[in-house]
Amino acid sequence: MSWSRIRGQDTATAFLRRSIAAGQVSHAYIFLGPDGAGKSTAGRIFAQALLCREGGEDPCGDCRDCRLMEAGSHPDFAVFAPRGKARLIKIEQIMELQRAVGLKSHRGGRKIFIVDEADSMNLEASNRFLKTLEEPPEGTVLILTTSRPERLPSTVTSRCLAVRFYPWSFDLMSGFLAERTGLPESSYPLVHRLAGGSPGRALVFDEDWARDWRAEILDYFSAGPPSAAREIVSATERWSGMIKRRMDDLSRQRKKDRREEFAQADPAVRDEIEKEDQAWLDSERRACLALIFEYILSWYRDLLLYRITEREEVVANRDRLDSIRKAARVSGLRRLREMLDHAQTAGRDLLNRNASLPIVLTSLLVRAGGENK
Amino acid sequence: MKLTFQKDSALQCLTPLQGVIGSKTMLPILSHLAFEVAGGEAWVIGSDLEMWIKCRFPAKTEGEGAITIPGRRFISIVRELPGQEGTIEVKEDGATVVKSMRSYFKMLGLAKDEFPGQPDLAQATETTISQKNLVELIRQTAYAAAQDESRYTLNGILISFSGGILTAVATDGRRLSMAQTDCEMPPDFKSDVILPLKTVAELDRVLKGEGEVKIKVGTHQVAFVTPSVQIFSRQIDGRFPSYQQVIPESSRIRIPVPREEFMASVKRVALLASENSPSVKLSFAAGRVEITTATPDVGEAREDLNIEYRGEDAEIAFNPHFINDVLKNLEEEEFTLELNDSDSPGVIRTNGKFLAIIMPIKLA
Ligand SMILES: [Zn+2]
Repeated sequence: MSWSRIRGQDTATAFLRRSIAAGQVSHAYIFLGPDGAGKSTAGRIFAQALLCREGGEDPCGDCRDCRLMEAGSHPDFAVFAPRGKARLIKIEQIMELQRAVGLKSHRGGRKIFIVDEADSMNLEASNRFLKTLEEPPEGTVLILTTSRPERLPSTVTSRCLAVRFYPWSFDLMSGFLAERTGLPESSYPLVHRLAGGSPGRALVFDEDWARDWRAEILDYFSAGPPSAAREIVSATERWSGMIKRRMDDLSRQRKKDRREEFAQADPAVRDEIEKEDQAWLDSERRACLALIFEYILSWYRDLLLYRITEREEVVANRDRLDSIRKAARVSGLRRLREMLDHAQTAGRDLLNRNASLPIVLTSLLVRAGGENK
Repeated sequence: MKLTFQKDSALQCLTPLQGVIGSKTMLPILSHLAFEVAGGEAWVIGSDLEMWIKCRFPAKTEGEGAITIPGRRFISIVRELPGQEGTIEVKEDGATVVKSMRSYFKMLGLAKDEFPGQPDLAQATETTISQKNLVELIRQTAYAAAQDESRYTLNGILISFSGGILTAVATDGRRLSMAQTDCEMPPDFKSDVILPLKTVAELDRVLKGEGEVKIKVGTHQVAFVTPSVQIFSRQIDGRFPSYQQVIPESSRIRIPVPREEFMASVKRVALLASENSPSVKLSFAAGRVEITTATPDVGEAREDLNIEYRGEDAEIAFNPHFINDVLKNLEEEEFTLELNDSDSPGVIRTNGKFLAIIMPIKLA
C-alpha cells in the first residue's frame, strides 16, 4: 500500500508523513472527515510505514513486515470495526483490543490499532476504551476514525491528536462514481450534493432501493403530476409505504444484530440499548425523508434552471432531459418558483417540525397537480 | 514434498493446534495450518497472532518445502480417513492432496509468505524445568489472576526467574497466590515474564508428559519447548505490581489446619452463603474451629472441626470460593493459616514453596 491510494487529502497525508520523518508519533490519533474519504486506508498506510523495517515515510512494500501488513496478518496490527448491519462496536471488541494492547509487540517495535467508525462504540464500550486511551503502554499507537465526532465523548476525542480529512471535490467524486457505480453521469451533481462530498455516502445512491425511489418519484412528475384526489392519495400511500418498508428492514436487521447483546445485558443496559436503537432509527428515517424531498426538489430545480437558461448542462437529472424540456415549456416562471418554495417548506416542516408525512405530502402533491386541472 | 503418516499419531499431534486455529479473527490465513518439512522432519504450525503452537508431525518425509492448508478441514479429514495410513502431497500447482485408501482430497493453500511465522528466539535465555512442576505451579496460581481487568498486567501470571528458582504469582487485587519450584537456569539469570492466561491454559492442556520442558525467555516472547511440541507466546507488557509488600512479614496467630476436612466443611457451610457476596466466618478457639454463615432471607449453617490449636481465640471471614480455589490445588495434608486480626489478610502456607493471601470480608 502506498500514500498514492489516498485521493484528495494532501493536508492529512503530508502531516502524517512529516510526523514519521520527524519521529514525532503520537500515541493516539483521531481521523475526522466524511465516510469514504480514505481515513481507514490512511490509517493502514500510516501503520505499515511505522512497522516497515526500512523506517521511511513510505512503506517499502517488500520487507517481511510490509508483506504481512498487506496480507493483513501482521501480529502488531489490528483493526476493530463495527459489526453487522447495525454497525456497532461492542464492549467485547474493546476488551479484545485491550488484551491486544496489553501484549508486548511481536518484534519489539510499535503496535498499532485502528478503531474504525469509533462513534459506533456504545457508552459501555467507549468508557472501557477510555481506560486504554488514558495510559497505553509504550509504543502503542491508537488510530480512531469517525465521520461523526460529536457522537464520541469529549473525554475520548480530547485525548487524541486530530487529523482532518475533507469532503471530496466534484471532480474527484465524478471519477469515483464512474469507476465504482452504475449511476448515470447526469446524476453526479445531485449525488455529490446529497452525499456531502462523501464517497462512502454516495454509494448509497447506487443501492437498489434508492434507485427505485428516484425512479418512482421522477416518473410521477415526468408524467405530469395528476390532479385527481384518488391518484394523489395513492402516491402518498405508496411513498409512505416505501419509507415504512425500508425502516422495517433496518429495524429487523438491527434487532437481529443486537439480539445477543440484548439478551446478555442487564435491565438498565437494555433500556440504554433500546434508546440507542430508537435514536439510530429516527436518524435513518430523517435521512429517508430528506432523500425523498431531495428528489422532488431536484425536479423543480431542474425545471426552473432550464426554463431560465435553456441549457442542458444545468440539469441534474440529465437522464430525464426530454421530460424536463417538455414540462419547462408549459410551466410559468412564477409558478415554478412557487413550487420550489413549497417543496422546500414542506421538507423543512417534516424534518424540523416533525409534521405528519401524509399531510405534508398530500398538500404538496395537490399544489403540484394544480397546473394540470 | 510428500508425507506418509499414521492416522492416530497424526490426530494426537494436531489436537493442541485446535486452540489457535481461526479462533480470534476472520483473517483467512489464520484459519490455516502451516507445514514445514526439512531435514527429514515435519512440523505443523498454527497461530492466532498471540500464540504459536508448533507440533512435530509424525511422518515419513520425502523432499522439503513449506505450505499452508485450511486447518479445521484438514483436521476433520484426518479424523475421518478410512484407512490407518495416509499421505499428504504437494502438487506442481501448489495444491495439497491428502489420500488414504480410496479417498482423495485436494485443497488449496495460501502463500506461506502471508503466514505470520513464529517469533525468533535464537537470542533467548534457556531454562529447564520438569513438565509436571511447571503445570503444578500454574495450577496453584492461575485461578487468582484477573480475567478482564483494564489493568492488563493482572490478566496473567508473573513467572519470575531468579537464583535457580522459578516463582509464579497471580493476583486480582483481592487475593494473591504464589508458588515456587527449582528450575535450571544460568547462574546470574534474572527475568520477569507475564504470561497471558490463554497461554497458561494451553500449557496446562498440552504439557502432559513426564519429561522436561525448556523455557526460552526472550525480551518480548517466551517459548515452551518439548521434543514434540513448542508453544510460543507473546508476553503481557508492563510491570507486575510489586507483590512482596503485600505479604505480611509476621503473623501473631498460626493455626495448623487439616486441608481436606476443612475444605469439605467450608464447602458445605457455603451452600447457604449469599450468592452475590458469599462469606463464611471462621471462629478459632483452643482445639477447634467453627465455620458459620448466615444469609438474611435464606438461612444459616454451622459446622465445627477439631484442630491442633492452642492459641488465643480469633475470628475472621472469607469468601468461601477463594478458600476452595487455593486448597483444591494443593496436595499437602495440612496447611498453616496465619492471621493478625479480622481486618488483615489471611495467609495460607504449606512447606515454604507456596503461599496464598486472601483479603478478609468485614465481620457483620
Ligand atoms: Zn517495508
